[in-house]
Amino acid sequence: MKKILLVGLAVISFNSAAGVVVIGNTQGADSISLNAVKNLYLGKSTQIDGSKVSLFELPEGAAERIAFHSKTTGRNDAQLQSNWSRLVFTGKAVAPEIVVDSTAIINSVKSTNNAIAYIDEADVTTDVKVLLKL
Amino acid sequence: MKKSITAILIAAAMMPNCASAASMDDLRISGFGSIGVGTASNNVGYAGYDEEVDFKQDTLVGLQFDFNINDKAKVTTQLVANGRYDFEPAIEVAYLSYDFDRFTVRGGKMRTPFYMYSDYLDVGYAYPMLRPSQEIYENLIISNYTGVDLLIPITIGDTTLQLQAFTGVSQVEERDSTMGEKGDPTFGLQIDINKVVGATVHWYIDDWTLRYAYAQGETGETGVIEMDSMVANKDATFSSVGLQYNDGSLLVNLEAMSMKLDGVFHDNEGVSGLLGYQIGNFMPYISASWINTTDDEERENTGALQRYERLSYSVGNRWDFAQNMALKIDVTYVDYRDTYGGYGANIEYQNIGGNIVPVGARYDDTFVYSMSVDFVF
Repeated sequence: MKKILLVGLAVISFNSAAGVVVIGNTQGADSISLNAVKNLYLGKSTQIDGSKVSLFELPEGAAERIAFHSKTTGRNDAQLQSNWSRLVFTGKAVAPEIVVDSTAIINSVKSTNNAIAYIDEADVTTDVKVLLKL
Repeated sequence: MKKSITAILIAAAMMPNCASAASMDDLRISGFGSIGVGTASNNVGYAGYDEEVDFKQDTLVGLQFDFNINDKAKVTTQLVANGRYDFEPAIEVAYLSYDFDRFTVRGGKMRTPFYMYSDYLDVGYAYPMLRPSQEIYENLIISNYTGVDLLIPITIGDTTLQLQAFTGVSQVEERDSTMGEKGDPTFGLQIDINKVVGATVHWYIDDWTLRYAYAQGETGETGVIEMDSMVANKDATFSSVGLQYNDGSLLVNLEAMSMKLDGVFHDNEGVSGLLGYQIGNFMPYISASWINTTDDEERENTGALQRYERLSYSVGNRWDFAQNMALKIDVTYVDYRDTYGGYGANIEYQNIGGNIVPVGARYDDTFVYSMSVDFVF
């Protein structure tokens, strides 16, 4: 119950912030469509322009994660987990790597070719490139 | 044999310093399972349940081991202990996959991808209903095959097409065989299915998924001569179409299949639909399914066994009550449409002039009540 309240508060406080953005490695493409992001995070596609993409996710309950999925996949944590179970146990796709916070996400995206992730717009640095504002 | 494979898997996992064995970083262990319980209103055996409360039919635990050989190659194995088969552990999946730039090739033992849910039937956590439609999925008599497949993703605008082509050999395993009566030498006879060739196409268009699958095979000889005239060298074909809409709240699933087997075996066609709606961590659903035999003229003198038909309705709910765990409940009603429904246990026999002959069905319908806890780890 407390957890639900906290998540609720986090969403409210988050909504007053700048917004969540999709980021990529600076060597990669300059932009990505909302549909492409959605397809990647639902495992419907694993590539962009023929190159395998590495996806990163924040842990369950993170405000940016909730905001990101409400604007892209429309799935809650349980639905996402169920979806990735299907893909992992049929060998069709690899689940996104869970990274603790936005600093860690930036480091991961910076050091991984074809990386895609999302963070709060306020946390963006020159180490990564903004591909789409949600 | 099975034990030694497990031992190798564990040994490999325990020896990160061994030069050739995969290091812990290259090994990922994950798992899935279901604890299910159910009962039925009679002993027809619909969905594997009868009047006794049964815990084994829908209970299983599986472990998946993924070893990365290098950036491109991976070995995947699944070890499953299924209550339906008295928890005898079996390697259900064991394949090597290699990623090329534009496609992936896999070789080994893999799940047959005939229907929408058939390559992950064991992973209850990955689907919303307690069990996929019996009318479609109980005809999945071969759950895996040994061979090669090719996975090709194709991007078309904002949509993706996934092609999977496969070929290999398979068998109706002893544990799934419905041949013969208990006590007969032919009971539980394993039947090889050779020359399996097939393809599936998934087309993801926004919240829609369109699916088509086709597969064919040929039965091999059983080694029991009196059986072979009936079961050997028969062609089998499966085809199915599926449509799914899922926007995260509304889930609509439609699937239809047609299965043809040469000879006196029943050819079937079936259709199934499910409607679900996600409310927080609950997904209540309703579904209906129908199956009908299509080649009844090939069994003209078989009386009550000539044809069967079934219509089932289910209502249920999935509740994601904890992280990585879901509780499902389901009530299914099935109407045998004045036939025996395809279940041997539902045939009424009578002694007519000294001959025991099937004359009709024992029951018109069955209720099945079931519950499961599905999980992944």
